[in-house]
Amino acid sequence: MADLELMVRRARALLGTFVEIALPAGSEGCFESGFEAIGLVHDRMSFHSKDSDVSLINAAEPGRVLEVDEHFVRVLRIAEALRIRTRGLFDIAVGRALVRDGFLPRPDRTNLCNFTGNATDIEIVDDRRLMCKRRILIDLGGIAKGYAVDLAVAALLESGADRGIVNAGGDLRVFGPISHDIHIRNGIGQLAHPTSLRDCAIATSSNYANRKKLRGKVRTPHKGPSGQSVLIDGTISVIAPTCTIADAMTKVAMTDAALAKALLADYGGHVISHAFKSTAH
Amino acid sequence: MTKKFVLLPLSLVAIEAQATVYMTPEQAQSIMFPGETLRPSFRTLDAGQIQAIRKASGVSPLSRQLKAWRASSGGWLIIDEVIGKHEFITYAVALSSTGVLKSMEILDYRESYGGQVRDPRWRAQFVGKRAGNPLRSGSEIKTISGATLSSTHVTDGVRRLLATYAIVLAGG
Repeated sequence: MADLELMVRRARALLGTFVEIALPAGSEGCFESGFEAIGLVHDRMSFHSKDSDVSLINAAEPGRVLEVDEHFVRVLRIAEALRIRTRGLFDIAVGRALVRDGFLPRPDRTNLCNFTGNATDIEIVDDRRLMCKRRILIDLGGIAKGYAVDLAVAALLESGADRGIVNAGGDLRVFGPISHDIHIRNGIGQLAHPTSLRDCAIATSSNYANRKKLRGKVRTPHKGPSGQSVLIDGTISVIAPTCTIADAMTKVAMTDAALAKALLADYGGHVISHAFKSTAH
Repeated sequence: MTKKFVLLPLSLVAIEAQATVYMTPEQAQSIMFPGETLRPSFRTLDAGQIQAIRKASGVSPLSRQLKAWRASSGGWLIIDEVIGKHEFITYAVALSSTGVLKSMEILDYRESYGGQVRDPRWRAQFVGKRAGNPLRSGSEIKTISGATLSSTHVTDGVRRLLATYAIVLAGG
């Protein structure tokens, strides 16, 4: 068990949440490298920031070659592999639907009808350049936090920390020779039994508390195969070797548990579902 | 319209807000301004300054007291608090001598767990703890996955402090 009392912890407000890093005493000099890695993802992969690479794509005229951060290209490559493996359930082109449903703000002077592109319209030129064949609205909300955690873990290891915990608002990874108990909180604040993690990651999604009604239909930020909103009562958690996979696969597991289970067997992970308890208020 | 006031049992109140302490103000000083000496330069904001800060940042100061320290390099350390929907947060910002944000750290974070206090398994975590103990998550309060907490209020707070610097501290 990781005795957090013996670890030193720091927290910063990044990625729209609180990111906490815990390291053993004596490794304080490594904190900065971890937060720098998170900061890079915060700067480059936010839908909300006008200066991010996501906003660059979302504002891009078709055919123009865009210069972006190499980590952004890496995330796009991972996302494309996931899109193919999940038969389109994981799709970063969900940005348009999220703006339409009011889960993301409408970029300035945009008419959603103009965004006819899908994920296959992004052409990766090389590790730092890409081009969109049609106008597209992407959102990396389903993967960027997990990627940020993994990038921070890599940076912390590189800078000499041999163990620790990186927790980006509940998407977290435990690394090195330690175990750590975590609780899973569902969408109405109840807690499930603790799960012990060792050298792996967990991410949790729910949408009970994040729904909107539009034209008589209940919408959530999670979309099914034909773009319809997926409603779940309870939470879906995914445990996987990396937080990128854990983060992305929670969205797949919400819609198609069997597919998520099969894919996660490949990655070396699994799904934990929690329904609301009968004491729900 | 009349409002009813309900008295909560003290023990419940004590359980509902648990603090995670990341660093003390003294640690923040030495981590954010290593090797420098800092002297307190606390201010009391007047009504005109509060109005100007609100106008410049879109956010009202929570308190008239401004806890600022001047570093030997000319930079500033400000320690401030924000209240979110479910959390009470103390944070620190380090500004350069020209008011540029150098770094921001969360000092402590008090999260109210709402409905969870009714969950016996949740309550069992606090057995043997007394009110006032600086409980920390992890071995005592378990780390939690799910229901991401928004950091918007801290972001708003930083914007307010940058405006506060320009209006109150920039002149010296």
